[in-house]
Amino acid sequence: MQPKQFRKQTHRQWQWQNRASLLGGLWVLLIANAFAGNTFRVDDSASQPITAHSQLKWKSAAPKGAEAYEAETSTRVNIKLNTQPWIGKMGRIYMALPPLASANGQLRAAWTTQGRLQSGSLVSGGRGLVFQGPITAAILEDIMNVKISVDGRLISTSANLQFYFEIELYE
Amino acid sequence: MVHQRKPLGCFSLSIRVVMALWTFASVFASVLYVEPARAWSLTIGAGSRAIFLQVGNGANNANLGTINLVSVIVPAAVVGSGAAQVMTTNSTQANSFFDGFNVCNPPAQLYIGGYFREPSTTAAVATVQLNAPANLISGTDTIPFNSISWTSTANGNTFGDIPAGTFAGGTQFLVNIASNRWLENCHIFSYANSAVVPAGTFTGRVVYTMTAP
Repeated sequence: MQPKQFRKQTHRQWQWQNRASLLGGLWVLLIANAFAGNTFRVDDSASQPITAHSQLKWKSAAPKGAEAYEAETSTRVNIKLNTQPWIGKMGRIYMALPPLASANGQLRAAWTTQGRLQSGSLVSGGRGLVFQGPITAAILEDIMNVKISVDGRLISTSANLQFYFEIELYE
Repeated sequence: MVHQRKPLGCFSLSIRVVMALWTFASVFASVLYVEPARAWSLTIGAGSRAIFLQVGNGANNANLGTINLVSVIVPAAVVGSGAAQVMTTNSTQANSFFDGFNVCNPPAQLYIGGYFREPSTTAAVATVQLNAPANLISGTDTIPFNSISWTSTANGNTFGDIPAGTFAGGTQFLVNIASNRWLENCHIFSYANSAVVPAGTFTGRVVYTMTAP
C-alpha cells in the first residue's frame, strides 16, 4: 500500500513540475525570441504629450457621404527617445500602436514632425517609420503633431492608445 | 516494488534538474529583459451624440426659429363639398443638407428630415413624433385637425420613408430614425373639406419632436 501511495504522489509532483517546467521553458523561448532578432523597445519615458485626453469629433456633424462615420482628433507630443544603447549603430525606429482592444476596425494615426524624425502614419496593430540611419546621439527628440482618425462608432466611451517605439538594427 | 519505484524516482529527479535550469534561465532572462517605460499614451473620448430634425426651412446642423405655414383658401363655391383641397406652404426648402440634392418642390411640398448621431455600432433609433391640437380654431369656430392629412414623397425617392398620415389630435408617432442614418421626405398636405364651416381663418400649430434614448 505504501509504495502505491508514494507512486501516486510522485506522479502528481511530476505533473506539476512538468507544467511549471513547460511554462518556464516557454518564457525562456519568448525572451530568447525577443533577443534573437534585432528589434528592441525604445525607452520613450521622457516623451510628453501636450494633453493626455482628446475628444473625437465627427468629421461631418451629420452622417453623410463617404466620411459618414469618420471621427478624428489631434494632439501634439514632445517625443524624446533614449537611443543611448545603440549609439554608433544603424537603426530604423518605428512608432507602433497595439490593435484596438474592443473593436474590429482600425484606428489610423498620421503625424508630422519638425524634421528630426520622419512624418508618417500607421494603423492600429501596426507601425510606422520615424527614423532611419546611424544613431549618433543619446537622445532623439522632436515635436509630433499627431492626427488620429477612426470610425467613430467603434469608440463608444473612450479608448486608451498606448503608443510605443521600437528600433530595428541593421548594417 | 523497489524496482518499480526506482526508475520513476530517477526520472523525477532528472525533470527537477531541467526545471531548475529553466527556472534559473527564466529569472536570468527576466532580469536581463526589462521593457522600457512608455510615456506616450493618449485617451480619446467618443464622438458626441446628436439629433437633428428639420421641418420646412432649416439651417444645416443649427437651430432656425422659422415656423413655416401650411395653408389653403377654400373657394366659397366648394366649401364642404368633400372635394379635398391641396394645401400649399411658405417653405422654400428645396435642397437637402445631406447632399445638396433637390429633394423637395416647394411651396407644394414641405421638407422633413433628420438624423441621429451615436458613437456606437449597436443599433438604436431616435423617434420622431408630432403633436397637433384637436381642432383648428377661428374664434369660437373649429375644424377638427383630423380633416388634414398628408402624403409623402421626394424627388428621386417616391417611397414615403417618413410616412403619410392624418393628424389625429394629440401626440402621434411618425417614424424611427436609425442611428447614424439620415432620413428625409417631402410632405404634401390636404384638407378634406367634408363639412360646411363658418367663414374665417382657422389655425392650429403642429409641433414635431425627435427623441433619442
